[in-house]
Amino acid sequence: MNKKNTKQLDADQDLLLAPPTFWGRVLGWFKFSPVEFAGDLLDLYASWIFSRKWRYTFTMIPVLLLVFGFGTIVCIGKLVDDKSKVRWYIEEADKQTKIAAEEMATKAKTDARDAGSEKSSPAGSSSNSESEADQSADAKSASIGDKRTAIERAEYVDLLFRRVLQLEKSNKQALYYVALQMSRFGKTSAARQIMESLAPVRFGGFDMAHSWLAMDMIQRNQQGQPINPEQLKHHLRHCTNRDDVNPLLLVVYAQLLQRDDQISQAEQVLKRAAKFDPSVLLGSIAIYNRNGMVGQARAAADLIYESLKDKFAGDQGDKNIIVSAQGFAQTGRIDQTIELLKSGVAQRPGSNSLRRALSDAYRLKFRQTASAAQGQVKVNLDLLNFAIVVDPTNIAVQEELSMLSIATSGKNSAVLDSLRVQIAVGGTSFSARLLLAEYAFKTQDFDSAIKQYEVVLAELPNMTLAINNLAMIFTLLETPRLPEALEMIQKAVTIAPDFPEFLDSQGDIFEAAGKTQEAIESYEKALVQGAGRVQTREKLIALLDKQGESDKATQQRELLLKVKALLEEQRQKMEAARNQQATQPATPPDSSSLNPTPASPIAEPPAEEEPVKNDAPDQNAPN
Amino acid sequence: MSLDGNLLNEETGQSTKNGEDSPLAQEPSLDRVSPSQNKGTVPSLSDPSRLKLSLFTLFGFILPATALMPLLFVAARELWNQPSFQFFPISIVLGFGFLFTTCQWRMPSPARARIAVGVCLVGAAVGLWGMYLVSPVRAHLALVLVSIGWALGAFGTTPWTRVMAIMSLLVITVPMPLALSFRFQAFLGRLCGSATSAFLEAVQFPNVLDYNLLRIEGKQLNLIEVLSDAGSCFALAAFALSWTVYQRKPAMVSMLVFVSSFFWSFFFGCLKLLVIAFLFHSLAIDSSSGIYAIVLSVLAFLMSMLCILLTSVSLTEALAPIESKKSLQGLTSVYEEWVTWPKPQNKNDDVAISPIFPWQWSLYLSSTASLTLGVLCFWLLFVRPQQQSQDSMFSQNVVDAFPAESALPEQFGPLKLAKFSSNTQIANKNRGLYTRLWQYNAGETQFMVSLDFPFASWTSMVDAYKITGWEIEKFGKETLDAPGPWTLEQVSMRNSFGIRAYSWDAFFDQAGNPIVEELPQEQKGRDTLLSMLQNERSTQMAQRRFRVRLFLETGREISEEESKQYRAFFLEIFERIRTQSTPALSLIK
Repeated sequence: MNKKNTKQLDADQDLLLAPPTFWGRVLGWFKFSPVEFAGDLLDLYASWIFSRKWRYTFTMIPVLLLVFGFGTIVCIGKLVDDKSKVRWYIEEADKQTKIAAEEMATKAKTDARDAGSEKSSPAGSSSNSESEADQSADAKSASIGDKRTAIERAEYVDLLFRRVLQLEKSNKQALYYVALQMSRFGKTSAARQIMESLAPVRFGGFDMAHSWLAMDMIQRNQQGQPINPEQLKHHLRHCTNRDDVNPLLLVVYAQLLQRDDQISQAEQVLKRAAKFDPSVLLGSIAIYNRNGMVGQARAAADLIYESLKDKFAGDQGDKNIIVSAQGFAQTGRIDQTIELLKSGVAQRPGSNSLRRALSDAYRLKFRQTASAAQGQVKVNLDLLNFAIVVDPTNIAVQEELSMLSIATSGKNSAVLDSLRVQIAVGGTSFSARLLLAEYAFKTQDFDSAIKQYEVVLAELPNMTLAINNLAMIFTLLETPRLPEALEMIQKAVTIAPDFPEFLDSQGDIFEAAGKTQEAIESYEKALVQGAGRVQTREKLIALLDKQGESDKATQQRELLLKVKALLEEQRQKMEAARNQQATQPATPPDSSSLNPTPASPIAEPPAEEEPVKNDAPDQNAPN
Repeated sequence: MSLDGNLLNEETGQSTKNGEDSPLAQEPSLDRVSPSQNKGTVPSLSDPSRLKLSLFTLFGFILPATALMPLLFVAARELWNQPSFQFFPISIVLGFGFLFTTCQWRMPSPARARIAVGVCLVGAAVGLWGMYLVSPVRAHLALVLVSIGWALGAFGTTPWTRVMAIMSLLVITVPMPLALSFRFQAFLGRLCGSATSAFLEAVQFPNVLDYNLLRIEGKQLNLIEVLSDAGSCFALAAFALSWTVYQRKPAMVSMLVFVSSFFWSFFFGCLKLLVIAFLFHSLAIDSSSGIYAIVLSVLAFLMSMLCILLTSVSLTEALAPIESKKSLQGLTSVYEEWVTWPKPQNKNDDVAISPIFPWQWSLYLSSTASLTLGVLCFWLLFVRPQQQSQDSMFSQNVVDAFPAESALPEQFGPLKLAKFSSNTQIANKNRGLYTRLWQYNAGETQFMVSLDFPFASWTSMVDAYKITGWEIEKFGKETLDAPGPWTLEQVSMRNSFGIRAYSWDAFFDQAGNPIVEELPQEQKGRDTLLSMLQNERSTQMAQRRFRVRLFLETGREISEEESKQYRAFFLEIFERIRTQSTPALSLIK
């Protein structure tokens, strides 16, 4: 054998004896049969198991248990189906919404109780039962263990609904609530976007979104923005079927229906509204009256009474009595109105609103019973007297006195004699004396006028009309009694601080006393309460010019021009309305004067029809 | 068996250094060392070898590293400003510590010498590039490359696997490019959020997870902020690496322990979120900020470290070799090879060493060039008067001098000022430390005007909007001319409710000048050395940026006309805020 062959043989031998390479072994797997492979695997596993020092791995057990536990709960959370989650979240949200509603109701009751309990004392058992109900509501709220404030609850519900939206993008309730929250945070435009997607204009959608959009449109309309009435009607149509619909929406819907001559539908809507708030039926009475439906009007008024009669003694008793009385008054049953109000005043003697309402009712009856025939004027001064006695602060009595004074001009001596007789007899002394004072003022017999007013004030010291007139007379005397005038008008302003007439008088008296700055302030206050007072503004301009405040005076002049233009426009509208009414059948008298709150002069008849006031001598009055 | 090929004592698990007890008393030959001849002792380093190693160390590592120092200083400061990377000093010290204490300073084999020098040259090239672009991130990367090259060359007899394992402690301190570090953290945050949300829901605790925000009742948690503190996943990963390197764990075990660090980071992140949620709900304690947050973070980090240690112990035992007769065949041998890789260095193997480091002239050149640029960098960044380095935090009087409520008018056409607020919050990539916020209302639309500061660079708002659940419909950047070129960013977006939002934003610098868009630091330096030499404009690394933004939410798409109006409104407020910030900017030292 040569060297080369030996070397070759050695190399071959080395190759044969050398252990297989790693990849050689891996590739060798593919040569194994499955059985051999399984056997090899088992060998490996067995060797591995028995060669471990397992105590070193036991240290991981607590941690692994923690991981396992965490993982299990996470898996449970992931495996729960979305519908169950949505259901849970919505249940939680509903629960929170109910609690919020209960809290709001409790708060509203508390606020109403605080507002309504100024002087009237609640009746015995019924208020006790109500306070027990309040306590149970509070207890219920507290028993839930919920210490969230209203804002926190709202944010919590927002969170719940946002999660619902993640799980179910099309969930309308959740979308609605999220949008509602956006609107609460001032993102109204964004909220409207969502609401419009929930409540499309072409067909019905989510009713709560329709309700929101309807309210939004109403609010924008009130702010002067133009809206589409048909679109508003569409939204109202799709939201007024809910049991908890806002009564305001029902009223607006009824008005829209009435506008479109859908009277019976409007009636139905108002009946539904009456279930929430019977006072909305007053609107339906107005509709019936306008359309000559007397029977339906009376039925509506009776319904108001039936709905509210059990609530006369509660927190809202004053309001309920007045609403019922308004219903009777609007349907021409003034006697029932007076009886109802009298009983109310008897139950709640400290209620100013009831007294005012009763006083206005007497005034209304006074007007209704006044007649002029065959050259004679017949009035029942007792009614006017009752109006004065019930509410000495009712300045509207002056209207009646002025009308009487005008109606009986030219027959002064006969009237005066008649009045004196009535005083002597002892009846209707207040109204008679006031009339006598009127006549004395017209004849510039200031001393007589003063006497009459002083007698009235001795018995009715809070009669603001008499106070005001007396104060003005003091300024007209040859030797003006300005300090007393100031004192009197201050008293009138204190009793009725927001009444522009008294503020105007105060301004006049300050001016007469040489207190120009105070006069300016009084006129300005009067104009705040009654922006349409032309004469007051003219007096203010004169004073500002006198003071040298030309900028302010110019500003007031510009405002005066605007006010006059507005008043002229209103006057023309009223003229047109009056002409239209003249062609329609007569309807029961408008008892809107029963409204205890005075109307704004701008929205109501023009201020050039200011109540006749004895602030300047009537130079045309006969002596 | 351990990574560096040393034998493990089967009973104690302790390693013995390769050939520590072997009587290698003879001087090695220049070309080859034969352990069998020397019976296991390490040959002492001859003077020529020591000189060669010293020269290699000097020109391959010390000089390039020194040249990079100015930029490394800035890089260190920027890294320190990111809480999730605040572990970097410890990691670097440990890396070099392990090198010097566990590896031997020896000449490498010829192949390894070539690789070592090659890596050093690559590192030097990256360093030169970084210095030219004045990029701290590139300088950091260069330092790591140079260190790897040097370690491979200077510790020539240490297995490369051991060297690379030690150097991984340096590699992990480099933030990933293209903001991948941030994105990974965000991803981990979302994962934590998802698991936490599912857990909370399972126990009927209402919550909403919106991208990176977890909302519970009364609280909103930004997951990135909560989980990106000093005990971040990267810090835990560095700890895992340190531990496995210290313990000389096998590669498989080391990798698994490294991966497990991210799992533990995720797990304890979830637990942290749960604790925050339950503490807030039950006891009204806000443990997402303040002292409670610090305590919670420390506890979470310690627990994570403990779990990593336990994992290491368990995996070491679970993946220990079988060492039976069957270890030489079949699957068992494959298993043995896997779990014991890298193979220990056989005592009987000859270890050839290189007589010299090749391409030494290139090392001399690169280090000279690096030093030159390095000196220039140092002078431009730290010596020139107007380019003094800045403090990253402003003092309170500086903050107070920035525009407040009265800086903007109460009425801007139809817009009326409704609210003003001034906040301080945890800063991140998308949000400054301080915010001034003016809220204007015009009808039903809210306009939010904000001044945020400070930022390290120009930052697009797009990512921030995406994180908070907005879907970007359109965005664009417009370059305007006066004064000087500057970028106006416009974004249109939409959320899941169909609500639309629009945003305009722009930045100005510390001199009060509006600026153009700048790419993130890891992509491009703020300026080049050349332009810094030519241009007097102050562009140092430490300059801060200030952002003005207009944001509005609306239920409908705005028209072109409205868009122009709002853009004009933004331009006006940007100008006002910019000019009114001048007094505050002048106070910044």
